[in-house]
Amino acid sequence: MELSVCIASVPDTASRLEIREDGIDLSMANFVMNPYDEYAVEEALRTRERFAGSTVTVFALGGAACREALRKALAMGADKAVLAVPSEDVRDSRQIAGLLSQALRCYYRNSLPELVFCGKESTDFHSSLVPVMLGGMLGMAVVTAISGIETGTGMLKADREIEGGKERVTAFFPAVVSTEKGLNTPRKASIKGVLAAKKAVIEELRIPVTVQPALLMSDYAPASRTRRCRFFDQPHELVRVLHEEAGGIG
Amino acid sequence: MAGKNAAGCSFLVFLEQRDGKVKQSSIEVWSGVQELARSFRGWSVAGILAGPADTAGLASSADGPVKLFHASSDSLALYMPEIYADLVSGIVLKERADAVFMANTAMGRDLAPRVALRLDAAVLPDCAALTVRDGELISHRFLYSGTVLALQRSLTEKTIHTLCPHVFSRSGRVSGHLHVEEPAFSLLPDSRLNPAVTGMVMQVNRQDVSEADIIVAGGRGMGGAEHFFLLEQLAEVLGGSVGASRTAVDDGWRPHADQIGQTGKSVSPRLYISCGISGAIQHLAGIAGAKTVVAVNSDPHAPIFQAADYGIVGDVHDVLPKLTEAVKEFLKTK
Repeated sequence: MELSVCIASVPDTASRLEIREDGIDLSMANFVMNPYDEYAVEEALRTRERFAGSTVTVFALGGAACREALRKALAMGADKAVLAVPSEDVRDSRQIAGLLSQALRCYYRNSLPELVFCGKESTDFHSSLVPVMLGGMLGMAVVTAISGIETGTGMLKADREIEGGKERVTAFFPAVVSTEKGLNTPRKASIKGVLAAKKAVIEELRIPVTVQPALLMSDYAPASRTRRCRFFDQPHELVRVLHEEAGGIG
Repeated sequence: MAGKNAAGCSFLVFLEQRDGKVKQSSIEVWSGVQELARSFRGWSVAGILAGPADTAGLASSADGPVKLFHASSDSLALYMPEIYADLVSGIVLKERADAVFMANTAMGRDLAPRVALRLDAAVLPDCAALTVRDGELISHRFLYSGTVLALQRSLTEKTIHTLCPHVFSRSGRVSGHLHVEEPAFSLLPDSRLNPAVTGMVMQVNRQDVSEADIIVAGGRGMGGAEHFFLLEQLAEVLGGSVGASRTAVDDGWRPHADQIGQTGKSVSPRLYISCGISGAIQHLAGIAGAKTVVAVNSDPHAPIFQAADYGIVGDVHDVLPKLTEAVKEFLKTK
């Protein structure tokens, strides 16, 4: 089977972000593979192990920061890595999905992969729009936020986490699935894998931006969640205050 | 919404049902958008509901009629992504609606981009605050683990909004009686592209943390899965749900469905009681919407206290039973 994974790199949460009204300066940030994408890479590798002769190709959109994430995927065991470099800056999920779909079409020509794995969202913006839009643009079925999967011949069964339970879903190939935490435990790269990934060639595709953004963000401001904490020694005092001041009990 | 003025906006609210019951999160959006529309002349709101469901909670006998497009077929009882998306986008086009609103739930997050693709519309996701400025809807959202607040606006003619819980105040009253219309829909858009939901497996007697009014959550300081009964006990007397930090989930003490924070759920309960949770930025990202935060932690310098309204410094194993007793006593005397 031909298996693809689309990954992104995001600033790790300890990164210092410089917030300006017109944008966010990420030059001081340390970029890592989007945590949800690790489950996507892992699931693609497990699928390859079950279907002999399969190939896992990992795609990322963007600049140099993505190279490290691609190398990490290669170190985990992916066969090939492709960096899609857009002709201009991308601004929203619709553009990202458009460029990724162009990159996949450009790379695979007329035979698109059977399965495309994506993380369910990126932890920087957590919009969770790209997987559905990518599937729509590629003409594939899409199953989002899966926490369990069984792949069969030409179809898959998956579990989606919903509020208070799970939803059972079946879909035919070709399909895009987006991965939720809990689906698997991503493997750690071996030293041999890391060394091989350092030497591996990352193919570069230049992709013209043809899709317009649908969303514009502005007026960035730091969000403070500092509260003034009032301390109590006795739980019963706290309970009384919670009832009287916060309406929290009863 | 770009360029639209206040004279004549048509809004649709997608109402989510599970097991025939309309979700509380959807009713909040439904009443909130109606409230918003009432302040502006010429703004109208209608609802969309797919699958058989009890619509009693959607109307009262006050005010004028409100239109509800209810495709009540049994075949729509479970969430059918592509069929639902066809249904919603079909009604948007027919009604010439400007915007669709839905709650930011597992279903809303899956459905919104599918509808957007069909309508060439923008999705403004994760809205944490919705206001009107010069007749234009302004949506704010959090980015980067809740450390940044940004304004987002749509560049397309039509817009899909997904709303976080409690964007609208809880007091939002539903008004008007329903004028129900049964919309036409097709059961087979393109079967190969249509993932089929074949069933649901729900946890019995457990309210999801993302929907809970009161949450008691535990972290590393709980010391192990076997101590979570202390949280269960407190949650039970309060009528709340039990949540967990990432550490507690990664160590296998609790299922991922209970995780609160960046790689878990964002919650917005009336009362959040954090127990043995240090308060890493990833965790705080998930509780930004909580109204009142209480922290119990043995380390007085734990960052959680900076994000809490009330605190007790002490060992959770010692404090929690006392707190549970205190709540019980309080409820008895009330």
